[in-house]
Amino acid sequence: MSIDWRQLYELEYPRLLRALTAMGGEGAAAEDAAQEAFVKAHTHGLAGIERPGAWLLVVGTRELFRDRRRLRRERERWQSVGRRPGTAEGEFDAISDRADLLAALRELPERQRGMVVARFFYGLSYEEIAAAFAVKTGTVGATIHQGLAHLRRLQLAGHLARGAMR
Amino acid sequence: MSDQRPNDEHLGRALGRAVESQSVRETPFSRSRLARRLDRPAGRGWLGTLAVAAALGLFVAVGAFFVTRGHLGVANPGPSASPDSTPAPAGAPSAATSPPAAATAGPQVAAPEPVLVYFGRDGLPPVAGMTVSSPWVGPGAGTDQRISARVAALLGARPNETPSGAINAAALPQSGSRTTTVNVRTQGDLATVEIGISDGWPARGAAQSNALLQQLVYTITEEPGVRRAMITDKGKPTAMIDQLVIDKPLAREDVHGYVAQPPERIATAGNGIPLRASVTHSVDAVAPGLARVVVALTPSTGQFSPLGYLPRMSAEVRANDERAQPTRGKQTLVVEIDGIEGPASSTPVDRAPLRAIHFTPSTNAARTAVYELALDDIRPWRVAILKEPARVVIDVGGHPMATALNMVVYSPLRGGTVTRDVAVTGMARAFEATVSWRLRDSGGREVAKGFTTASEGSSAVWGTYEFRAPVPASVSGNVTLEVYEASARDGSDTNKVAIPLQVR
Repeated sequence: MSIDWRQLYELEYPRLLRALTAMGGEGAAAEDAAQEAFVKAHTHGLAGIERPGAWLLVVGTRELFRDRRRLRRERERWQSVGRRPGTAEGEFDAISDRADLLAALRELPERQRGMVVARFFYGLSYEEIAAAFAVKTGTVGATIHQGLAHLRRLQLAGHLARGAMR
Repeated sequence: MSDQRPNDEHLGRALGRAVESQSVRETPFSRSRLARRLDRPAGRGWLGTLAVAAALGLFVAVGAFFVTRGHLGVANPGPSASPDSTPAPAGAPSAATSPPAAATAGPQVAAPEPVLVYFGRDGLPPVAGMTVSSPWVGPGAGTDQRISARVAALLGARPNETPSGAINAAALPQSGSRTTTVNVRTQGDLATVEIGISDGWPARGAAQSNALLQQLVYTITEEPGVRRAMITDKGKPTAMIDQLVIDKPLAREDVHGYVAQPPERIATAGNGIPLRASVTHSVDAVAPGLARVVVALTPSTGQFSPLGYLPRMSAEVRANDERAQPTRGKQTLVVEIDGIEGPASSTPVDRAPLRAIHFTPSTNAARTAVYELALDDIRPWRVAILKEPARVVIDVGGHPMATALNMVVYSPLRGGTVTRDVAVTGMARAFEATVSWRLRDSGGREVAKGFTTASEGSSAVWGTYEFRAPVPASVSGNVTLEVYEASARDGSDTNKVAIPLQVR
């Protein structure tokens, strides 16, 4: 019984933590959300979860954003102090490209963030994402397309901003 | 899926790689909330579980010193009288236990109590920790029953009971119809422990097997009066943990991984003026596996000596019988310093290897005050005397692989990533205080070398050293830092410590 949970944790936790970190940008909040997702899965019961990976991602995402909404005001204060969380100043272009991408991801609306990560990091199909997020398949396609278009603009802006500073 | 544009797919994949390549700090299952939840009865909300866990933590911390360490070994295991306190039946000195059964303890079974067991660490001697998973045996229990209960508790310890940074190589998976028996027979300072696990030992590979053996030997010899453990597999004269054959009694010093240090007494002559002392301590802070106690000294009468105020001191390790002196540890490092004034005190530390520090003021004319460091085992120890301000630094342990007879390296850490300018610190007792070093690249070629001067030469008191080793620009990746003493006789390397590093 506890063996199943352990296997599930060891299989799903690493990518869940990465997905949530990418979406949220903060280690502690992502870790909390990931841990909470597993506890929720336990409450729910493994038998009632068809695709645990997608289920954990959706629940974890919800946890992450619920906390973030609560913390938003605090964070705005942070930013006014002058430090901008989530922007990494990479030394190498490949790394800074990735940092730009991740920073851009965090600028997307929450639902776009979740679906883009589900599609491209978890490799879920539109049908699977639709089932997990409880929306129509067509909505998934549109949301992801919007998300990527948004991402491209933001990433480009990041590139230009960095280029101008050099 | 197919209605995606190629450009989108490209960007999406780049994003996927970016997500994947983030550096994150993963929490192992054993420390996850899920694992903690699985260990608690179902049907309780997470908040409730948290409260229980917090309460448990407090109980354990208190229990660590007062229950198990303080009194358990003497006569009375603790303040809480458990309902099941019947002694073992006469003629049956062994107690058989089955850890998985403990989880379904009925009302007839004693309430779980904290039990002190040892957890393994990668390459380092084990650390003490508490587990509450096994019913304790009650106040009337004998030596054999207590040892048996500790071993059973170790085998049945839950993942969340492993202290951070440690592993429990003895933990049995908590599932199936596994049966475990632990039979103990004690004679003098030797406990013979026969262990039967229906599915065999849990450890695989050398690192796990060594950790498991260390955990068993330390846990068994935790019992006051017991110094050696003979571990056997049920029905066999010896035990075999994976590839490791155990065919003789083992003391803690046989398994802790340090080079054997001959017994010695370190003493200095000083000018013996009245001193005021303040004591600080740390464990695992300066280096892993190292307990450090620093006695800082100031003249108490405002006397000033142009030569400084070196303390007259001596230090040596004495084996302690905990049955007679329960608070002095398995071994006591006795440090006598002349001239120190102040009231007697005891400071619990309870982090392996340092259990507590006791101070007893002087009663003689020389005002010889005594510091007693209660230790879990004898491991290499050293004393250094620093000036301005005057301090007596007492170090016990260090990383076993960074410890030679007269040389120890505290930093950099083994396997660490370093920059091109490696900061090296440690202690040495080297001829003319000369500490030599060299760097070898991954092919074993010497790429840099040098030497430094320690604060003392080859005296009984150790010298401290600190230097920087520059890594040539042509070298990167895996390197080995060797710190050694060039032999006064033929220049060969002696007291050599080799530290593998990664240069970035």
